[in-house]
Amino acid sequence: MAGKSIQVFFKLIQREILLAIRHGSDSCMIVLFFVIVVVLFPLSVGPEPGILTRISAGIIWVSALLSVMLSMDRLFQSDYEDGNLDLLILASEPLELIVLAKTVAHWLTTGFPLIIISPVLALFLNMDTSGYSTLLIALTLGTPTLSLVGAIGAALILGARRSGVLLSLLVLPLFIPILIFGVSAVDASLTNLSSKPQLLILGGLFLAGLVLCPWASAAALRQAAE
Amino acid sequence: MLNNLINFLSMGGYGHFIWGAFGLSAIVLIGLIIQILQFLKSSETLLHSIKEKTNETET
Amino acid sequence: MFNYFANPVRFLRLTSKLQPITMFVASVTIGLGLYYGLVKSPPDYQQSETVRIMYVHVPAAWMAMFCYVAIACSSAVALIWRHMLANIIAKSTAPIGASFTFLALATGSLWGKPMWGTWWVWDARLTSVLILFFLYLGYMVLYNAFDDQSRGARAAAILSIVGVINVPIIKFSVDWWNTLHQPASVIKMDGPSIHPSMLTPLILMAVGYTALYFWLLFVRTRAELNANKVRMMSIQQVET
Repeated sequence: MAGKSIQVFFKLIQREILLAIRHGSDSCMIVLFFVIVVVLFPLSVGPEPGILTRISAGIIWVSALLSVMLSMDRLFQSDYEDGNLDLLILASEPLELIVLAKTVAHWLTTGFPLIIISPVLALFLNMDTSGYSTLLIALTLGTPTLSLVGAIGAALILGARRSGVLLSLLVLPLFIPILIFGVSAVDASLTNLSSKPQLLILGGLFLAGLVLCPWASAAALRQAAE
Repeated sequence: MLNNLINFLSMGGYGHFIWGAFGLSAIVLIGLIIQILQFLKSSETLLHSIKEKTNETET
Repeated sequence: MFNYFANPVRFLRLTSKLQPITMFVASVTIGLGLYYGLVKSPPDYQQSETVRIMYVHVPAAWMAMFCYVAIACSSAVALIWRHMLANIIAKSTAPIGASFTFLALATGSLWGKPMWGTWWVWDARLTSVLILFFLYLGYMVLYNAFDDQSRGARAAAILSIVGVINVPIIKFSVDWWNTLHQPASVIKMDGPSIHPSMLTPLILMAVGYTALYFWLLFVRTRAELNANKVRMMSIQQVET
């Protein structure tokens, strides 16, 4: 039974990723959005390297946050519209597992590309080389949590009016802790302090999210399908 | 007498902040009370009018 | 007990008795609290007169958290036992709690200016209370974002339960992080560390704010139940 559930879990991830690759444009657009938002900052605060170096970690984190949020509202929308959601709820596998599979797939198609592109952007922003590894680790620990938390919001807004704006209103406040610790981890390593405590907190948030968020998202999906 | 009052109002030079905080609290809470009481009133008149209407149609 | 009072008629009968009591308690304790707070209590040896802002700031902050917990609890009841009344209580609490949260932030800001020399600092306590304020707003918007009222109620209920994680963060933020905001001095394991002359107005105001909350909650719940009745009756009229 458990073995079969795990098989279904990976099948679902595979299906979602295949869908994302076939549609293609979605992931690319998110990465493009990420790059453009980051580029806006040097243009608005001025190109002095000193300022950019100082705020580079914050810029990258805020842009990543916005990109993940922007990609979020499609997570369950198409399933909700074409009735697939009812089938997923009726499936013998627990809905929590299905939600988790969809979230993992979402992270692999949006969060992961962001992490890969982020060193290039850090270079644009004149970030000190000592911050790169911490930035990558912090993003790797933080973006999955963003996807997990965002999935709750995506499930809550199904069928609502003005769902896009609503999603950002619900989800962004919950993203704040991840942003705070993500940025302060990078800042710590840039000032030659240990970034271990912040990274541990980010890891703890990720684990807590991994356990709690699919459960909440599944509850939200069930009530949406009622 | 007047000196006492001025002394009291100035609050050791921090009068702006203290009266600001108390005044703001009063404004917000009284506004909330008025809004909720008005809501109750309007809902009651609406309920009355609709009840009368249904009575008319029944008789 | 939940099931007993889940009946709106029974609830209304109970609250019609409690309504004047809570209103009376609120006006008396807030009146006395203002007198003790502004006139009788001495200025603090460290914070001088500004300490008086505490008497409106701390109760508002307590109520901000209390109201959120109340929303989350009645949302849980609404989701588990499907009591319509629990949803209405949660919905009615939200604007009251949001007002208290706003007051806690605003009066704190007015206190911070003379004490810290700045209106706002980005420390853990202030940030987490700001998040609480956003959660209140999100809750209210989500509740009204659906054409189907019960959908909005259920979605908002789940959001409020998710957001409850913020409450312990607010409570312990001053102990976990070194911040400008001073730690708790009233609710402590070894008794309050605050002088009785200041504790009296603080407790009076806190009781007054709590009574005010319950009074407003009862009035608002009554109004919401009326509005519900109107909605149902107009649907019936259309059908016949």
